[in-house]
Amino acid sequence: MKKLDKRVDWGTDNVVAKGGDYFRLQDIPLYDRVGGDQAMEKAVDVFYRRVLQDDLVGKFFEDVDMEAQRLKQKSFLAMAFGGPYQYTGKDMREVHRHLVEKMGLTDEHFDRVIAHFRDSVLELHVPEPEVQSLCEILESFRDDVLNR
Amino acid sequence: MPPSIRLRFGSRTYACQPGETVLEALLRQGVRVPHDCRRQTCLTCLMRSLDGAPPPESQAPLKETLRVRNYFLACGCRPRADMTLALPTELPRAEIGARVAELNRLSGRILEIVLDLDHPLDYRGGQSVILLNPDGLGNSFAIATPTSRRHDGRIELHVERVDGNCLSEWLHDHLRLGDRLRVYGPTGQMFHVPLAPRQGVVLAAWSGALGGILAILQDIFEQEHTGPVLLLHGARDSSDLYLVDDIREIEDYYPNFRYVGCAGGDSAKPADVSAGVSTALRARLPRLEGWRVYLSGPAEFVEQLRRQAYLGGASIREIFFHAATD
Repeated sequence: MKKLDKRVDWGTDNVVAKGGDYFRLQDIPLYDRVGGDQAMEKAVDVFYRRVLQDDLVGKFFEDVDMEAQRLKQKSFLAMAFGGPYQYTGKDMREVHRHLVEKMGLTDEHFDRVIAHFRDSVLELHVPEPEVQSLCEILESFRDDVLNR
Repeated sequence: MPPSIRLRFGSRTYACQPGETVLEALLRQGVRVPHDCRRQTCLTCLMRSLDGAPPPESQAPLKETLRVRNYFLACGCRPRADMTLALPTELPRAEIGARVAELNRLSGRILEIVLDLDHPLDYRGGQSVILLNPDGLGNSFAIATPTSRRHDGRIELHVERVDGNCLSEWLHDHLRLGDRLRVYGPTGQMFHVPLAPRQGVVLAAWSGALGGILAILQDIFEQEHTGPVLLLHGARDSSDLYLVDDIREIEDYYPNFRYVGCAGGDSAKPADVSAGVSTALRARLPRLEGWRVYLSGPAEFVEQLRRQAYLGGASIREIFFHAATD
């Protein structure tokens, strides 16, 4: 750990209240800053419940086992946050291929899922600049997900 | 260099190098076991340890009923000691002879079969056994007897007569007191595990699947649980609701217990078997945060209610279910 240049008020645990700058300097991944696996457990439930109930994208989640699907979502979220998982473009292509070919997965659906993701992480008080980078990471998978 | 770990699987022993996972070790030595994601998300590499608890980190994504029975994910398991392993489909299960001790008709379509086993079966209430008749017809039925009585060597099964299900028809029409059957089991991952004090529990069953749910209900009350307990029984017709008086009596002993019989479903969508229970559940418990949920019935019943429970805020780890595959 690098030595501190400024005093930090340890009275609050809120990254937003501290302005986030201290942690940025330390390059601690967002995944760890938000609380690691425990935070992903909460995040996936907020996100997954939203998409399951969405009238546009819910249908893509209908015939899959909820528990396995939730675990996959969780590890994907963890990856987006900088956690210990990697998904390649090839992974994303393969997993979504039959949704594109058989169920008409398009940009509209992708946009909706990103929107739900954004709303979910905002609900969990992830700071706005971070939310922006997270959405950029997800956006980078668009062509792979849509098998283009 | 530390000695490698020994993995006993099937009739052979395999080495597991320090730092290797069980999956890596088996695949390296040419053993073809099911696997996919290798990151503890797909649950394909589920295995069971037969000689004690596996390392806890290999069980983290699994729900409690799997953890207490030493199931684990091979891709996440770095053994600290020798292990004896089995795939879930290959588990040695006892075959036990049984004699029909009682036959009680609980309703027009539900027959209670009480079996005296040649020796006790180590089951948990809510698990199932496979029954085989002398012609070799087989099917699985949930054990309606509470876990505490497993040493008695006597189990109760609720068998629903289903047209086209040969064994259920045979049991209803031909089974007699004193007949012998073969029992194989126990199977199934729906059974009672400890609750938090005052935690709410909702149990829902469709038709003859009530048996397994009643075993769990008895387990709950044997532990003198004081949190709210709601039992929903769904059936096509009110004549298919059975043991109504006996269950209602529980309300007298336990003021925290409520029973609701839901007959008729949704006449607009007769194929939607969960509709009656679903509506009753939504009306009484629109939010299920912190609740334990037990579900038993046909797949469409279980799936609909699982979803409803999860969307209503129940934790995925608190939803236990058994979908009859028939």
